[in-house]
Amino acid sequence: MNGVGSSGQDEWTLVTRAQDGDLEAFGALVDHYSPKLFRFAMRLLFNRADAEDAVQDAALQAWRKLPDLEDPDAFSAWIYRITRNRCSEIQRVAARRATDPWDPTEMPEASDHRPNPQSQVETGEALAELEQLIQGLSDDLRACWVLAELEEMTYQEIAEIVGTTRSTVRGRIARARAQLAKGMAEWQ
Amino acid sequence: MAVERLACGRDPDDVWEGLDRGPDEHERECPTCRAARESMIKVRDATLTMRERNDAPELAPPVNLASSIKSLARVQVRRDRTFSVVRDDAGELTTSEWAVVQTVRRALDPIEEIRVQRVRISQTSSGGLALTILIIISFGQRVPKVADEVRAVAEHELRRQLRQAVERVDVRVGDIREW
Repeated sequence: MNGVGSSGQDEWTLVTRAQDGDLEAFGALVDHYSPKLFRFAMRLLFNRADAEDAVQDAALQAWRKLPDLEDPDAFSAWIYRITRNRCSEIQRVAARRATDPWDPTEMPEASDHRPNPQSQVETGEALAELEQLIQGLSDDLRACWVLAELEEMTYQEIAEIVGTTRSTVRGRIARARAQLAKGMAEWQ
Repeated sequence: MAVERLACGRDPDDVWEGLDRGPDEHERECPTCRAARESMIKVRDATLTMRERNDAPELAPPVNLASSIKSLARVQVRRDRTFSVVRDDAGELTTSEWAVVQTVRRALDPIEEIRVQRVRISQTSSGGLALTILIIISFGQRVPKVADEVRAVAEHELRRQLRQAVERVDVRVGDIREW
């Protein structure tokens, strides 16, 4: 059972109390998870406003549905899953709304992730290139790859979050990697 | 769906796994593997840089995100039923579901052999209080003995603090764990 929050209460305790309606316990979970979920949403949506909406909607949905969560130990995977689904929904709406995917006014903020001028130019450019390539991955591949490589989750955890099997996760990560490697090879 | 093997027959996963060691004999000779290693190393290195930037400001949430979530949750109170605790000539005392849940949880906190998972309240047809307490028990306990203790403590505390007689207390053991 993980420790969470300044009181050091373990997550199981916070989740079960929150399930019974304890707002303070829920607040501790929000404090712990919202930065991680926001970072995750940013890597799926590349847009701060959308990421903020995604996390807020997901957290409130979690609050409403918490009593239905049967296994308190599954909270992390569960809330990541809600967040991921919310991100997918936001993307679907954005795709329907955009008339021209390459309209500069609709351009996601990935282009604002300019490399730090102080850092090695080569590292910065490679990073920017990888970010562009990640954005080009399909939704499914990107979600798995981000969770594995940037959030360092296990295949099992990822499988629970995206709602599929470990072997499917493994396949998606391998395909994502192949696409990224191909892109990096063509870049320089 | 499996990833396509490289032209030389190698599994790209194996090439990826082997990046940290130097190229093996085949990889040194094979132009396909050499190219694959080179591009994968770029991916690996740029990924490491990205990971190191997990705490960068551009990936940090707006400062008020957590507090707005909490404010909105406060508004969406999920359960706030009230129960009639005492009704006599002097009047009626009602208490909220939350107060009952908290009273029970606090009373059971000191019992080291258990952890309280859920406390659910309902009202029986005769207007009395019914409790369902879902607990997990530490390994090695005698379950019926512990369940009886939980029941007794919950009943006693509710009677003491809220002057509420509980008509029914169901104790359910959800799991047995070591801690």
